[in-house]
Amino acid sequence: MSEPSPKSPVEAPWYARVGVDWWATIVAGVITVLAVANLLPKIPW
Amino acid sequence: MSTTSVASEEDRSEASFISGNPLAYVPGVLLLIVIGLLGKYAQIGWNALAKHEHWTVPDIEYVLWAIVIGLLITNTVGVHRIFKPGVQTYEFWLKIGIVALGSRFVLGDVLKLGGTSLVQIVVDMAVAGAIIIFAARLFGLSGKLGSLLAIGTSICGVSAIIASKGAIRARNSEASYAIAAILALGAVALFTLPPLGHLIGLSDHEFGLWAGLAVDNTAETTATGYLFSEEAGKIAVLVKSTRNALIGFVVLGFALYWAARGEADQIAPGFTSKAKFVWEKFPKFVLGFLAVSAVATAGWLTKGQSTNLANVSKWAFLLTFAGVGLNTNFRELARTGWRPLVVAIIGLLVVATVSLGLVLLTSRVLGWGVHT
Repeated sequence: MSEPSPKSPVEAPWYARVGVDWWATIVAGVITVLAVANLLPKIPW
Repeated sequence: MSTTSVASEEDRSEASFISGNPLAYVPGVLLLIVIGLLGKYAQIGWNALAKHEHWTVPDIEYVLWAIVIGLLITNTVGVHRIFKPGVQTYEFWLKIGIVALGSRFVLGDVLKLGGTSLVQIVVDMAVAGAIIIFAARLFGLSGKLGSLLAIGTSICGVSAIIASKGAIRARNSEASYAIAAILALGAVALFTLPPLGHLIGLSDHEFGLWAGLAVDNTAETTATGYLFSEEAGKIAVLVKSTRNALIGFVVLGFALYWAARGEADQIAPGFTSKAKFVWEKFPKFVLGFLAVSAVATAGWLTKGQSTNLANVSKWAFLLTFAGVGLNTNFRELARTGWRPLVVAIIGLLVVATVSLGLVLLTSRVLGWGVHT
């Protein structure tokens, strides 16, 4: 879900402040761009 | 987020990235991969053994193997703290899996199913939320704990509770109680809904709808759907994402209610500030899911690359399921007391019953549904 921002005495690292939602979207987005460009290697299951 | 360990909600709020050192994530992620692979190959091995020995046994899905292996580890030897940062990334993998799964949906079907499930979600939320708040009062829980349980059960489990905690100024203990209760229900739903669905004779589409509507946490919703079938898993993810998208509106409603009673911070007047509030709570990965679905709908993916993206989604979910098991700690759950748990169980029964009724009404009487 979205990135709640609790008050914490320790400042979160910068990548935590970006939020897991955006990171997941960015990573999956890059993978999708590779797939569109036909550059994604075969992923077996 | 998920499951039954009762860490403080501050720990959970950014639970996917809890360390400032990127290398700290490596052991836990490797553990997720190992358990995921064990789950995957346990299914293959189990089936081969049954065939070799001429046993008539049910096909135990890799989803269940991965969860059970993780669950056994965490409730017996425990998870060493070196693994914790990596294990907590399972929500990150879940969301990657959901975004990549967008490639398996035509955008028109997403909007159609999202639209029809929206009606079911709103009815479900209203009925379940009202009953949970009433049950919370009956069992003498505080109004805010009742609100948190209603939000967690009707919308999005732990993430919704965390998102609401600050907005309605609930106490840490209230949030921890609500989190523990909601998490326990996720585990219960995971193991009960798929056999019930088979017993009732639900189709993949119907079960996916039911899981998407009834199970609180996105990770458990996904696992519950995939435990029934892959098609049910896809539908469950879509319906749950629609549910998640409503989080901002529900939290805003509760925040305004408690602010009006002088027990929460006032939200600035005007449409812009409320829209900003809703956007802050909005699950952004839903936008990624829609974008990938749009790419697939536009025909920009070859058949092979579409299969590749679907397999990326399956691998990401496999790590998620391992994480669900590893984060389900029954000993910690037992410490939280029985009253919030009873209210949450009432919530699960109400949500499961109401949503099953809605699914059967809309699919078998009204004939709603799409094929994906």
